[in-house]
Amino acid sequence: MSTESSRRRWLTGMAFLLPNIAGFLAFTLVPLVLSFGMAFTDWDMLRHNMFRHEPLSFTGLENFVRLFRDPQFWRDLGNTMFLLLGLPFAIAGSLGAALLLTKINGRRQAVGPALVVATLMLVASGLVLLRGGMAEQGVWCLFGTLAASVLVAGVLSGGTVYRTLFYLPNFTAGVATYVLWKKLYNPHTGPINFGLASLLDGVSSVVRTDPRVVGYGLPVLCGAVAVLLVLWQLRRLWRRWDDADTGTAAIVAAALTLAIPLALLTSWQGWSLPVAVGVAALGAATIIVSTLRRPRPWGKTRTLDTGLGTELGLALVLIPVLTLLVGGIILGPILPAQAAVGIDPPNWLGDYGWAKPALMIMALWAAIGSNNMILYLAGLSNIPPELYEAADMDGASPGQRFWHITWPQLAPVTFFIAVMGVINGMQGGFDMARTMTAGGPAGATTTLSYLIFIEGFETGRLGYASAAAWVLFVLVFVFSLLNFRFGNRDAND
Amino acid sequence: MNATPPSPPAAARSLGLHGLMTVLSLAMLAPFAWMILASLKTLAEAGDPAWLPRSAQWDNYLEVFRVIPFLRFMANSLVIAGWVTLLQVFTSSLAAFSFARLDWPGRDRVFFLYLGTMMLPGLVMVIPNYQIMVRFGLVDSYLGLVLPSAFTAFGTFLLRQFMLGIPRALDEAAEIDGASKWRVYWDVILPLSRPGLVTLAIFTFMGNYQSFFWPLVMMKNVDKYTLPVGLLFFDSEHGQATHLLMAAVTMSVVPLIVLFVFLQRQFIRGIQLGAVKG
Amino acid sequence: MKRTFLVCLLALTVASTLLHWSLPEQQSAAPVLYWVTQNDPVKRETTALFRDWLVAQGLPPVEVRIDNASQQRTGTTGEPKELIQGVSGMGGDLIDIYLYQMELFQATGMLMDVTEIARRESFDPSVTYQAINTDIVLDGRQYGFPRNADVVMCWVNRDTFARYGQPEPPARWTMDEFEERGRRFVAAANPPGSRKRIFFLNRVWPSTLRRGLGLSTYNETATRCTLDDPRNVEVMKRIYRWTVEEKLIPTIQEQEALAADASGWDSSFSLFATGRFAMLYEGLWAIIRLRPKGDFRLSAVEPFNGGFPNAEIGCGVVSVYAGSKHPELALQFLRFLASKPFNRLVARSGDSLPVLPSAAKSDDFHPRDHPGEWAAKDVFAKAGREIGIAASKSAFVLPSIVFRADTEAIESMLAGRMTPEEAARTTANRVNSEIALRVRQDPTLRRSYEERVKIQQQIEARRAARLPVPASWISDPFHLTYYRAHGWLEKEAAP
Repeated sequence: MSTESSRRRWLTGMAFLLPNIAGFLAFTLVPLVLSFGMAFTDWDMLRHNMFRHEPLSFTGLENFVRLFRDPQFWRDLGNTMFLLLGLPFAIAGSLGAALLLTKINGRRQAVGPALVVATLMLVASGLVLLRGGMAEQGVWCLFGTLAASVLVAGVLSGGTVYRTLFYLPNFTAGVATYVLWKKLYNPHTGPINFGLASLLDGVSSVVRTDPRVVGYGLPVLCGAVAVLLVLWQLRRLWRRWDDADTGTAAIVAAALTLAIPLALLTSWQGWSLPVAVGVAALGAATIIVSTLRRPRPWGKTRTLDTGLGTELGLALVLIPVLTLLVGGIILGPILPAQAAVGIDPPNWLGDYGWAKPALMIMALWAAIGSNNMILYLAGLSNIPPELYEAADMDGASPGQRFWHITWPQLAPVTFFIAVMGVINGMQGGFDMARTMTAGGPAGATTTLSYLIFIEGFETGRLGYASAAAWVLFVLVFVFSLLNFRFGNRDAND
Repeated sequence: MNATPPSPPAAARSLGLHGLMTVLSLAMLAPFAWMILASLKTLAEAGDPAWLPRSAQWDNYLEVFRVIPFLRFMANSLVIAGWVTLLQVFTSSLAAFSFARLDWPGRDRVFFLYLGTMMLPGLVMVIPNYQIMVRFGLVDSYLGLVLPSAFTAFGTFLLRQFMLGIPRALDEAAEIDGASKWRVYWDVILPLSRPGLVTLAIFTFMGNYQSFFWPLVMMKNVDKYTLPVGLLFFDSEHGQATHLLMAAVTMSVVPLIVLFVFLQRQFIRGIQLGAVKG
Repeated sequence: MKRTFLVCLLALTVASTLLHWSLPEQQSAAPVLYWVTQNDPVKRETTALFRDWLVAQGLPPVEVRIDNASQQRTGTTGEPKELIQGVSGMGGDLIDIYLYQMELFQATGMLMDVTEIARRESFDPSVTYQAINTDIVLDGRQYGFPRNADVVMCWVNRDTFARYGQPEPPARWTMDEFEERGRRFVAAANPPGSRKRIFFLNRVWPSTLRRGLGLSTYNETATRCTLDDPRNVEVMKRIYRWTVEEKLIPTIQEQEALAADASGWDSSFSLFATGRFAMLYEGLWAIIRLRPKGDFRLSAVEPFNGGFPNAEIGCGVVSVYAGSKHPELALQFLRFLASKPFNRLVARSGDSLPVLPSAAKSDDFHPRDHPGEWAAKDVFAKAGREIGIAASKSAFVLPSIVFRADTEAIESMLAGRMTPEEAARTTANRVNSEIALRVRQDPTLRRSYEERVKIQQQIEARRAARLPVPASWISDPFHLTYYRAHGWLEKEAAP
């Protein structure tokens, strides 16, 4: 291979690239370069088009300066980042689904009979339901028969049916999904709140039987779990630090991870923001200082960024979990009073606090059985069975099998999914917000891509929109670099 | 993977597993059940909270064909998505081979540039791209929908990751036998990347069958509309014909499910073959 | 694998050839006009009627093809399809324009100025409701003709009021009466412990409330946003009270979320028909959706006001694309919109008010098979003639930006993140800084802005001296009506 001259190798490489790169140049690179140039001009669709040819003027960095001064930009950046927090759950969900499907896979593959049986059951129950004209109970009958059909078909087909059903949300991806979920979330007529209302009535009556137990018990329970979690993380950190598995940057990241829920706790308690941030900063500083003061390990070296990837990954799980626990602490004392008048289910898309979680729940639903699951399935079937056989001979537990074989073997796939997830996540939310909430309430679901849409197609300021897009580009780029730096290392182990 | 013979606890575990899968499947299925039930309602019932229609309006499905040329839209969508898939799989696999297997100066920099283009939000490129289409005279043509989607960095990235996982020993052996680069690509790498190719084909086909914004902007002639654009016919100034829309969406999903069920068998078998060979 | 590939290639080639070959003949004997609109039964009937009308006029036939574009009737967002095609020279010959799109499209220069020909062919603003002039005339030039007009009023489900033993609202009422009656209604309709909340009204429209108190979104010359005003704070406080404290209406966020796409209306109509909303704040077109909901008794009343009765009137406009290849034929279509046959079609379909006020008196407006809705329809037609005022818009800021700023501020207030005072100030500041930016960037706009600012100063000086003001100075439709009603205008020449 190395006998060829460098020029010849280049030519061969390019020859293979040519079909793709020709189209790529025409349809991606040209618009890309154009939009970069336009980010430094006052390009405005209203004044620069085939009917109005006013001179385009170069405005230097003005668009960027205006963008960074715009409070809307910072709010939308925050929203985008918040929605991105759903990504680790989505990845974990896809992996879990793929693992479960592989467990079932391959016993029996009678797809044909399975479909016939399931169809017959469904048709029969459908006829009974539609003829019988049952009202509310009909739905439960329907779900009963659905469950039975799925089970029978699943057992007969050995996974094929489950795999297809899990992938179902992808068949109507896009606007249809959003319209559908909007109806599901409707606070007055949607089925979600229809079900939740009776559930919450039950909760209310339980709380009413002994308000004090819940009022004090819930905060104490959540608090205890949170403290245990924090202690576990600290112990883990210190141990890793002593083993030189963790560098200074990772410690700082971990400390910030723990500080964010603390800041939330204090600010939700009604403390003013500076105080809350101050308390959190103090907590973070304590963790950092107490770690750095620990004795240096013997004969081991670590660099600044050792273990940073692990801590960042862990942070993505720790922050939401701790935030939920903090929510529990806050909720406890309020609950009895709420229960006395009856707890209302959330007004999902219309409530400032619930709108983002509502979108994230929908995204999670769509993401579990998504393309990521397919990639994991492909990755899982590519793991050589000999590896597991060897582990079984060593008497490895299922957990050990996962952490020492499956997870490292899947690293390239996870890497791909994470990179694409970040790219799509940072650019996403536009169709979703536009269809479901129009960016509201009070801008709670306006993402950066929606800002770009508004500036580009509502106000016509394409120069400004391009500037926003290139800022977003830089952000995604930095995230991807981090991902490459810390994710790829594991992938190459 | 699970080599233990079935014993009572294993059977119980298997049943539990199936139970869990059923529950999860139902969660995925529920919105579709709602969709199909909504397609059987009357317009007046469309906004009601009840799931079940008072009596099933099977006529809605026939009405869809009366309101829009459904089959024409579907054929347009299928053919456009098909061409995009074919071109995408072919050109991406060539490019991925170049990035994963050939050693040429500047390769990794070019690859990162490729990857970087995915990081710019596509929205700002819509206007320049449309102008290019006007320049080439491709507005309101099938070609104008196929070409811009057929060459993406995504496919190249995906297939490169797959090809990196194929042991190098295989193509080195072929080269020692005197095979040219093209032979290595066509006879060694391509057959071994089959799961990757099928995966990319599924993703591309799904994505393009459902793509909405670009076809909406590009097409003027109703007979060339794709299905997602055609579904706009059920939105009017006076609100939405939800019952017909849901019937049309239900029907539009059918080819995708058929394709998926067919391809996933291909795709599982492909992996098994690949594993045996590798 | 490779065989699969080749088979696919072959199959696709065959399929594409078939598709291409089976395309219906595009060469039409008659010239073709593309109409960018929505493909609903009324529009399809319209194109057929146009062909007949041309023949009846002794003109050569033209084929109008509908290009389906708009997913959002609300028009709160500039529809990208129309914009992208329009600025690239590929727009449809006829373009439908909704609420907030006129300013955007007009600014790009893609709409044809039809002022002279409209006057000659008598489809100028004088033939339709006077109140909607500002929707088709910008800066003295006409850019299209409406195909229908609509007033937003309160639909009343009389059965719901009867069910809870509450009196129906009067034809004209004040905010205080609304609050008083609403409080009594929700108390009667929501006994303690009931889970399904029953609301008095589905939503409110802030600008109508502000106008009732004599406040417009802009000043007289539309050069500055005036929402940082105690009267707006008053409106904000009322909205807060009605939604959060008294729960007379569901939260506005919820209503916006429901109405953000076409599907959102379904549930509003269902809830109104089933009595969950006692009243529905909507245009006349709502009867198209209410008819199939079955038997319930309907009536309509004016929106409650803060002293100055008013209702918002708007219209769906059709404009001619400046890059059209057949401008003369497209203009025929506008002429058709002002014709009797078309207006009778609108009157019959229930698709809002016909633009010729006389058509609302014809028999078509009172369809024989729906006698129950005649009275309500007459209330709408009367409101259109008497209290309808078009939306306030400014040439110096796009309406969509103002709408967004206002909505976000109200939503922030309802979510408890802003006080009413802060909300009022935030909206005004956002809009005014947007005006400043737009004027700075666009030299053409800057000149007319400076002229208007001078006029504004003159108006204020005259008002301070209690002198009458010439009507031509005032561009804001609300101020014009308000000044006229209070006798603050100089004597106008009889039209």
